Amino acid sequence: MIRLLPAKGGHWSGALVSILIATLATVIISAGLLALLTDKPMRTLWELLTYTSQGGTPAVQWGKAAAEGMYLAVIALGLSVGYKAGVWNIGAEGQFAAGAIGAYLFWLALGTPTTVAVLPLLLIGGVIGGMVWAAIPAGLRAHLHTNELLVSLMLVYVATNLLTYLVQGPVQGCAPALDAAGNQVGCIPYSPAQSDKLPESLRFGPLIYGVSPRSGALIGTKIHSGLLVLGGAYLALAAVLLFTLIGFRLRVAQSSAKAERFAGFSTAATIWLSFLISGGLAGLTGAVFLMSESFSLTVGGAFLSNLGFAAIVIAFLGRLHPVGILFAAFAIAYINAGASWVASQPELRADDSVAGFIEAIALFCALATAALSQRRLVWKKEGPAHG
Amino acid sequence: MADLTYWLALVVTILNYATPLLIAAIGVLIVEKSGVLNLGVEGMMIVGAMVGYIAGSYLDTSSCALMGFDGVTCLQWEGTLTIPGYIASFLLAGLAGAALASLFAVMTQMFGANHVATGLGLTILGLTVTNGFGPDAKDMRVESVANLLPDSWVALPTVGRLLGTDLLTVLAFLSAVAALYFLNRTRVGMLVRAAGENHYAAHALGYHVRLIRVGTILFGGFMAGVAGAYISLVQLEAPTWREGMTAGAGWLALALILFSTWRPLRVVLGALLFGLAFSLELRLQSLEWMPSWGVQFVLPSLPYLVPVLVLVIISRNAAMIRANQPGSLAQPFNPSS
Repeated sequence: MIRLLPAKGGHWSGALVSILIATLATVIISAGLLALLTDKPMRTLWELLTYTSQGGTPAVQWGKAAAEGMYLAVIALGLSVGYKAGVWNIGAEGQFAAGAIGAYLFWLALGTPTTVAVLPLLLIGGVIGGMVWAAIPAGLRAHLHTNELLVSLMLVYVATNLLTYLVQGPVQGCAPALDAAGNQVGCIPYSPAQSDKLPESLRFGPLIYGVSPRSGALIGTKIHSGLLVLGGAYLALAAVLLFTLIGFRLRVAQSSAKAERFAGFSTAATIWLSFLISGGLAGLTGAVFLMSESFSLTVGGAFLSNLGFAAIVIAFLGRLHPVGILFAAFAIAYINAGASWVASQPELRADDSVAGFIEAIALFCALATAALSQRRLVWKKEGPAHG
Repeated sequence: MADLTYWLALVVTILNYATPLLIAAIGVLIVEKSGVLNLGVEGMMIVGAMVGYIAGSYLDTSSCALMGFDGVTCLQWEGTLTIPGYIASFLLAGLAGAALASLFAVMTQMFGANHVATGLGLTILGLTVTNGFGPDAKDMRVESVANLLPDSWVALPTVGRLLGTDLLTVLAFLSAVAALYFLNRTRVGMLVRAAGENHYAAHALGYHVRLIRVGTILFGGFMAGVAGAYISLVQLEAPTWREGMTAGAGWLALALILFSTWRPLRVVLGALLFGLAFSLELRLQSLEWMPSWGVQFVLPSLPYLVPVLVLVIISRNAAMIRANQPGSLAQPFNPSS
């Protein structure tokens, strides 16, 4: 019979091969699933994979994938720091919300300025918001030994409630009500509830424009200047993780707590560092999202689009490696954008859950092959229990 | 205000919220006692909630036809679950949970994949599956769930409300006692604990650790599925299906096990405490002195803040946790090396 035994040592080419196998398995299983879910599986798959050239404006469609990929990559890279060291922050969704809240509250605290000079302060507000939210599970874990995985997750629900409470109460915005003469006589609260919008000067505008094939008009893509901020943050952290002593220490931390102490790093420091990095990056992403896509806070369920949870998948798909995470994030974002495109095509009758399915399939294929790549197949004639 | 009816209503609400947590947590308890950490409870619960609801809405009339009634009678039954339909719905929901759990079993027991990553993936998969089929399920209709006790009992003043609690609530509490008996007094229960305490020792004694674990994982999935179906079929005024309706109940079940330090009767205590946190929202939001931030932010967050608080208190006593935590929980197991 065939037995799985732990492999001794490893080579980087083995990791590449296993990634290739995972990708292939994902494509095959996804195609099979599409055959079950849709009437025209091959055409759906084709349009999904080539959606950037299927009608519409290619630049705009690429932009959707690029923006979402950037958000996912930044959050996932932050999470990967802790995951390597066995620190489980699964509450990035809540830290994302806290970041957006932090940026917005900074803007209010500064007296709702409209000058572009305060833009960096808003971003800092986002980082602080995310860090504050992440500091709760970090502190409880580092000093009171409370399970950080569950606490960080519970705080997602609390952050969602906080967002909903804020926009329905203290920061609810309203539209000016005018009398017959056109004078402002009051204010009608927005319904559904949302805060007042950030001024134009504090929004990240499109960097790239696409030309509409029909009218020839210029359309702004989602590739906005905020992505430069996120890209910079990604590169900085990736460089730290790959090339500096801190990155090396964190890598040591994953092997064992003992090795961690020998490397001069306390467990508490690893926990704090992991949570502050992941929380800060999720918060920064929340602030950028607020300043480039939503412009105002909305009720919890409407503001959050599961980026924080999807980033957990991305971190594992990318094998917790800065380069892998970047590829995984853009691949999944591309599939997401493609799936929402095929879902919008009435003749394909594909459900918009297709993307979620492919994401889950990819995750399981990646986890299975990652585990297999650390083992070797051995052929044995007979298998006693202690083979 | 604080008369008998008020307190009984509070007890009924607490039991109502405690039931799914307790059912799922007993499943988690057995799984963790065998040394497996499955974080996919939330995903298995939401799938159970959906499957239970869909099964319920199909079984209302077909079970009537199976029982040999004519079409006119059956039309009156439409939208009401009969007792066979009710049992079948829960069984199907449990099987759906177990099916999802089998994926976890294959990944962790055959491929040796990381428990935490696979469990998280299972939750994400469950939420994805239900997001996909959610809109279809919404069109169906299950109006009321059959009560297992005679209507005349339930119609009694005051105590009737308590008697009207679902049979599953009773079963949930019994299952905690059964788990205690199973783990401490039965041969298979001992094997489960042996596999969890030290898998290499259990393996060396010739026990099939992986087989035991596959069994507990499937059981945990079944319980999570049943717990999910309780949320969609019984917990609310009328059976309802909504995407993401379990709202973290699966995570609360996992928190419950940490709170209980793996002891079945403390799971019951924790479930009642968490149930109280849920019912406080309904009970306290009408108080006049309650500020708006209390009603809109603190009260809805209580079900999540109370577990955090009790976990903090429990975690301070590391010795108690170490005394009961399965020694091989979520540790890699390579018997051939």
